[in-house]
Amino acid sequence: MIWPTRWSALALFLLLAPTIPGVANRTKAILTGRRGAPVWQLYADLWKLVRRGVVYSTTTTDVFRVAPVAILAATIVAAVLLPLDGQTSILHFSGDAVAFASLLALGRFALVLAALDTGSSFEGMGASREVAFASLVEPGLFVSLAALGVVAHDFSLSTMLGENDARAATAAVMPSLVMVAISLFALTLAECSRVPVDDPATHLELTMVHEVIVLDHSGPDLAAILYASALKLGLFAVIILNLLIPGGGPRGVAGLALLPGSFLVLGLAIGIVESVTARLRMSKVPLYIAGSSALALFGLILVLR
Amino acid sequence: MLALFALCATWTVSAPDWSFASLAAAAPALSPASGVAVLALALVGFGFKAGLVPLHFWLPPAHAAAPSHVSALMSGIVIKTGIYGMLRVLLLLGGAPAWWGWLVLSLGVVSGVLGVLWALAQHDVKRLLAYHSVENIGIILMGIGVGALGVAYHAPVVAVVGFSGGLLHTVNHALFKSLLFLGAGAVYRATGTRNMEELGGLARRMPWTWLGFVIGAAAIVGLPPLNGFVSEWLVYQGLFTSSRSSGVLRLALLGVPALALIGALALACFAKLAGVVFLGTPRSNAAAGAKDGGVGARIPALVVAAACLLLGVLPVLGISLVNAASRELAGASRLPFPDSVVAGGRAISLVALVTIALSTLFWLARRALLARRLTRHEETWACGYDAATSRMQYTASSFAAPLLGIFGGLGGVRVERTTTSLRTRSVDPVLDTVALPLWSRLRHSALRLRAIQQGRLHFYLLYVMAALLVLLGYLAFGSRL
Repeated sequence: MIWPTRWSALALFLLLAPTIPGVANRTKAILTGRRGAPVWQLYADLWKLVRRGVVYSTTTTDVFRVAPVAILAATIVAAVLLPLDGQTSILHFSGDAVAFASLLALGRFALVLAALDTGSSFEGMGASREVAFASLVEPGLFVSLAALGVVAHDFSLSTMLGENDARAATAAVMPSLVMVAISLFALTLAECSRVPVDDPATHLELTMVHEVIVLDHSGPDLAAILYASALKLGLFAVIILNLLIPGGGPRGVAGLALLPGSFLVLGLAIGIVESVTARLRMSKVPLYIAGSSALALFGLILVLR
Repeated sequence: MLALFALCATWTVSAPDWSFASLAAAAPALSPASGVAVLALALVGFGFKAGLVPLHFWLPPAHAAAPSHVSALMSGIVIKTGIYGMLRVLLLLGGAPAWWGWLVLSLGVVSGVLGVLWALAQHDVKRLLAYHSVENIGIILMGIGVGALGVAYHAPVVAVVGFSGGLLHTVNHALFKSLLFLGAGAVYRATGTRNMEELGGLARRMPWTWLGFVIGAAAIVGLPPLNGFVSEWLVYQGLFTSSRSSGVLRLALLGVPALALIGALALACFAKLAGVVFLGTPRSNAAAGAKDGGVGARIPALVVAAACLLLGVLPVLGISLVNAASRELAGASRLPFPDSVVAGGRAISLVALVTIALSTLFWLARRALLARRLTRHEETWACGYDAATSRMQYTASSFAAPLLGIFGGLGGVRVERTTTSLRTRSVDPVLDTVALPLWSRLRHSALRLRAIQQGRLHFYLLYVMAALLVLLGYLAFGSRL
């Protein structure tokens, strides 16, 4: 009876992921004394965009039209590799963590090529920043995954994050797991373009990173990209929360309840960070990412000992 | 070459003849000192051939200067003879001590990171690709290093997975690098320039070349569903499995972030190459008038692209290709190939197919959604400014500038900014600060010998006579000295 749980977890994941940016924005609004948009704002935006027509730049080629589709597909396949119900994933194999990271990289490659396809200097600038920051995030992400793999004695996301006896006795490694979780949260902010690396609320092209890349997308294409970004936040929410639960989450329906819980926690955390910190200067971002990766590296060294 | 002759000389001291069989038989009889010498010389000699940092400096100029289909062969096949040579020596010696494995692994990391950094700073399409050969040799050597470590620390599974990663990446690199060089050659033929800053917008004008090139780019970056991903996954697997053994071998896990950095930087570099050359608007008249080559130019590229896709969707094919060789190298011919790798290969097929199927599904859904909608074509958004020209596009230099600002110091790459211009300058530390000055000093001192070279034949005959006399004298009286 494990199949239905995994599939319903995937359905729940795809359904609820757009609440994360909603929760984050709502938290930020409340903490900064505004009323703010409702939590389900992104659903309304997506619904509006899906029903619209599109405007294409005359410079663009098919790359621009294929990219949103590829990004969405790659992100969903990455979700299939994660143990969304806290037990096991729908598809798992040794080293699927590498496939997970590579699928996210595929999405990034498509997004960046689509940006360069417009021939816009703004989008070129955004693409350049995106790949620069991603190059810094990638080693940190792999260090975190390696640390989890060492603890779980296997390099499949299902054993790293799901039900696994090797992880059950993790009291001794809990400090390093906490370090990895903090580091992953910091990297998530960078990877998913949130404050302090990027500000999704900025309205000036020159200061944008992720927003400027999607400047020329419209209609269903933009909806696919926005939805994929929300899904990406969901992926990291699942990783961060599950790695802190030794031996895997509760089974059955309680395990399913963990999924919205992790979305809520990540959304709140992002909202709080965005209300109390300002965005970093671009030149300070490498330091921020390197610092967070170093924390994961300490975690790895502690478990390697 | 000299290093290779020295290698053979050291080895054959204890072997009856030069055949591989007798060399292998003589391997146990090698003294420890000559064993070290053989391994070190193999690394230097074959490393030169393969383009290993810091012995890579001949490679980028040579590969960039050759006609493109020859560059494809040089990068794809010829430098791999260096890898083959190293593995042959390893096989004949029956394994290497741990220090060699660690050395090869670290040299692989250095080659990979520096190769891709130097590539980021290039503006010449083919030179950039040539520096990527240095990077990929680094990835291959990481696999081989892990394999050698597995043998040295008696961890056969680590050894098999490491070697198979290195070997499969050798095959894969031959495929996607040929594809990329064919694309670069087509661009050069169509536009007459290899300078990225004069290209742009070629995807519209050369759709077939673009199709091949973008597949090659995604493959070399290691993205699913293409072949580069499979071999990088294997190298990662080698590094991961090393952590499950006990002792020092676990430290090989620290190669993981290095490989991740190499992959991410390669993505940045190929986004720059593909984006600046093929996308956007043309930056020169030559690029604006470019046309695809004939059918004869398209077919080879498409065949290679299909091979990249096939090995990416069916990794089991590639894995079975390197299966026997990697078990032999690991000294584990009788052990079965690790199940986890075969199972992983099958699962990767599924990942690749589902990705392709989902993309197709979404594409069809998007077509259906937009079928009866208004689709307008307008200028690219430039804050309401509607006279944007191609000169306002981001250049290759600007694109790479943030990354080179962060990492450039590692490889001696500098970003030069003035108020009106920005360019990245790449100084190859080995070529420009060591090899070229050394060569000019050598030439300078060689000029002193000029006096004996007058171009008169009878003088030269005299030199030959004198040399013969000295040799005869040595033969006659040498033994008494």
